[in-house]
Amino acid sequence: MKGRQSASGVLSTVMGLALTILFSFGLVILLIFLLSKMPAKTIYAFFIGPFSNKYYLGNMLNVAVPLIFTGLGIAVAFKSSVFNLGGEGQVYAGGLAATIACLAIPHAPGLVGMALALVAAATVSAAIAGFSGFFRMKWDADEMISSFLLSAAVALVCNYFITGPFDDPNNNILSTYPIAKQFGLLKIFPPSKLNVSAFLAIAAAILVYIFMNKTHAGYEMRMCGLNREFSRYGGIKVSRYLVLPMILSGALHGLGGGLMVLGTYQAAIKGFSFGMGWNGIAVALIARNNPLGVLPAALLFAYLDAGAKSAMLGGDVTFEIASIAQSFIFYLVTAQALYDIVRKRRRA
Amino acid sequence: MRNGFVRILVALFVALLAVPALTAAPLNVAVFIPGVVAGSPTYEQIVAAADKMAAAGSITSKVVEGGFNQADWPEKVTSLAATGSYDLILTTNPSMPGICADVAKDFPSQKFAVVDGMLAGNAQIYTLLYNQVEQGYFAGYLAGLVTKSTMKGANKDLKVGAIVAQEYPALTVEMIPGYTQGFKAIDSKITLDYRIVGNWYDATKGADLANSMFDSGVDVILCIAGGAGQGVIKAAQDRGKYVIYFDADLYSLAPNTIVGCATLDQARATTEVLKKAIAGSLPYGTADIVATKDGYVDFADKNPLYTKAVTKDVLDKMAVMLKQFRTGAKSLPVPKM
Repeated sequence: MKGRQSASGVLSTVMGLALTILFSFGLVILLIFLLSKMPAKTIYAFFIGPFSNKYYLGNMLNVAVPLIFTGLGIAVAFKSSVFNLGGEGQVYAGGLAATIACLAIPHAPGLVGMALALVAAATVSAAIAGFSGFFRMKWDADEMISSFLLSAAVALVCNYFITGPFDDPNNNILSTYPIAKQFGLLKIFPPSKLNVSAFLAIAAAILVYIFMNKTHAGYEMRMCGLNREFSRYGGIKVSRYLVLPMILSGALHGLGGGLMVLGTYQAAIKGFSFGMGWNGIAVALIARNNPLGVLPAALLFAYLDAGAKSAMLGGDVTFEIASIAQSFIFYLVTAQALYDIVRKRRRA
Repeated sequence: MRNGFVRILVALFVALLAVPALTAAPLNVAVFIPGVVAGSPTYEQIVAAADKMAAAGSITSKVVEGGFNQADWPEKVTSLAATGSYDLILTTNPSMPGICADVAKDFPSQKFAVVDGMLAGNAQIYTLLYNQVEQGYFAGYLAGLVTKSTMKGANKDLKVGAIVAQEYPALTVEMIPGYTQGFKAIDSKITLDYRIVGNWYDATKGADLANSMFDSGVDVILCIAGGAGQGVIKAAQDRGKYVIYFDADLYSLAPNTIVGCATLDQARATTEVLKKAIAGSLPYGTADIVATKDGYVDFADKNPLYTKAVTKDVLDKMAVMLKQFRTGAKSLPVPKM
């Protein structure tokens, strides 16, 4: 009986999500008909374009990689009922930390540099997010507000370092010096930017799933997420789980930023991680905070992104069409409107 | 009879050969704008020139805006190359030759042309660089004259200003040194107050910087800051001070506040590059440098808003200096970047 109810819940969720995606695709088609002078070509470019050649396909998958990390970071925090809204700054800081680490050891072997860069990225971003958790534990400061504000300040500090002390004067764009070539991640689908970080993203999703569902600490984090008072009554040190999820969340965001630098940009370019933090929240919400669900959710967002780029190049609409579709999905998922409709219909 | 038949056959053969030439497909050109077109006079000139040629049927033109996130530019240029649909990717801005060179490695048959950029030796890329030392010199010469003038907003301090969006080689190697040579040619005691906005869009920060400079005695500012320049102009209007604009004739934005415009003729450069590309004579692999005597770099001194904005003494001295450059009697070298 219980199993049947659970299966029914999953089915309602999947159907609600499918409806959400269908509605957003419908919106894209409607906008194209309204804005484009060649709608058939633009629609074709939007939906089929991302699969039309190796470059588009590889880049679409590559865009999904940091989204998987930010989505996982948010899922870990939300599952524990703490709210990390500082993803934007944490991804940015992680990328910059990875860059600085690589610049500090230009002659180190590739693997050593990569490992050190990722450790630096995860550590810096974990510390930034951890502060918000610590403030919440110590002074009951709302981590949602503090992480958001801290992120805004961190982004400005990162801008300063990128355009100031680490600015490459020989580069015409606002960027740090490039990292040494041996620190670049191996490309697996040239000429696209897709690299081995895709495998790390899949591994990270599996590891986070195992941690959250198969370990004692993961169990306690989930319990605190479900009911903090009940968990306290059950003997769990709940204050610990105000800080730990934030640290894990920050570390995952930082890894996302670090891998963007090592795999895609080979330098910290001003604003390179724009949107990754906020889109990570949408990805986690679509995945219902399930670490394994983050993989297809990130792919969906990357597909919308790639579709918009393709429509811009192959059709006559602007890139903003992707942002509208993503915002629409975000709205429908957070409002849960379609999920409720499906549930009610199934009950009837 | 037989001769006539042969003639007809030859004529038919020639006609068959001529048909494809006469109906040759237009050159497919993608115009990549590193930023957005609206609000950028130089980008508007490029797009207008490409559109004009497209309207005449000699090219097809697809304009793609790269947006303000510079990290996205390489991917968008690569996406254009990956379509395989464009004979030429035309772009502008000193940052683009490097990006095009990276993309060219993966797409060896793709050709690129960059106006306002420089890269020699890549067989897939043609670049055309303006002599912006001379352009900066014109702005600096005027700034020097204005700060020493009896104009209403000028003060006794021998200080001129420059507000730039960000630092990049063309700015630090060409424009600012040219600007400095210009005002030093008027009076070697004039000093420069130089500030960096940090982006191309923050008008509020532009205004803050300008106000701070006016407070410290600056009376005229060279503005190379894109959208942030709007803040500089507003601050100058409020304080009764002066701005020198770069790249286009835009006195109408703020008459009597914008007192000089050092210009580039992007429309002409774009048209000529495209014409050569159509004719198959664009010398890929070379980097041309064009200057004032070639007609690509200049100062907008015919606009009545200029002649009304400055004193006769300033007009006369500027006219003498400009004549020297336009006739080629004087020129300034472009340092190696």
